[in-house]
Amino acid sequence: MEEATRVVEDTDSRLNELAASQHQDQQSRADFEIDIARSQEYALLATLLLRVPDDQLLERLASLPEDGTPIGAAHRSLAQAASLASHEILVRDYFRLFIGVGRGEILPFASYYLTGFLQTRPLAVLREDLGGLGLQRADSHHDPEDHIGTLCEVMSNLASDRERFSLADERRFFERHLSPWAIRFFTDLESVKNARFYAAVGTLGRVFMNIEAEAFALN
Amino acid sequence: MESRTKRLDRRHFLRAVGGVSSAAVAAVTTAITADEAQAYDPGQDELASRYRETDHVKAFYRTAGYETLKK
Repeated sequence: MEEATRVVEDTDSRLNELAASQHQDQQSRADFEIDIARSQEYALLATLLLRVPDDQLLERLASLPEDGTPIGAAHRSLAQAASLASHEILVRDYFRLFIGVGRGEILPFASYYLTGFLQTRPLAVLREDLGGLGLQRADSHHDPEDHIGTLCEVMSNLASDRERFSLADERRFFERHLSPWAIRFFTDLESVKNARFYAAVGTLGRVFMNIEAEAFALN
Repeated sequence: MESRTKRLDRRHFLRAVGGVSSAAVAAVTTAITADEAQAYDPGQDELASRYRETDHVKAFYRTAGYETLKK
């Protein structure tokens, strides 16, 4: 009888262990799904900030749904702006805003936002941190690495590769390189005149950066 | 335990503010990556010589007085 009781206890504890490990699996799966979603959001911002979307992409953006969440609302206004935009118009807007003759209306670089000059200390610190993470600028890319689009691309990679980068790596990178200026940049972009699509990109960026900052603070 | 609770909070928070939008973004961004993978094929343009003696170029030589240099 004693034997039988022990067997039952053993089975119980094994079942509990199994249930606990399944629960943990489910939780890590939920974390994984969230990280992939965040990574996709960063990838979307990077794409929209580094190059002008073609008509096909604009068509796909126009179908982004509203779902009642803050991010969903920002997607919806981006979708509306995308449905009214065309590649040709956006080429002009992008040039006027980010490149310009001499300089654009907005300089999307960390160095400029933090020091008032391009290619200064924040860029040097960033290069050092990127080196530590084993990342470097692609040969085909000519802008300095502290371009907001590049920083979003880095965040996208950090969020999607948990085997190489921990959540702590991600948080550190965000706090050192995006949090000091990204919200200011996106707020500026949001208020540009005569460029509705890029203003909507600004809104999405601002909302997402606020969420990220709050989420990292919970960590 | 505390860090696990915080992790749960973060997860719930991100779910609440992101909702199902992320799936739609995934569809958009996946398509972007697929587009980018296509290589540009310059075709015959790559082999074409850059300088061509078009009518415009001939007119330039004529009006600029280079006619004598063009034997």
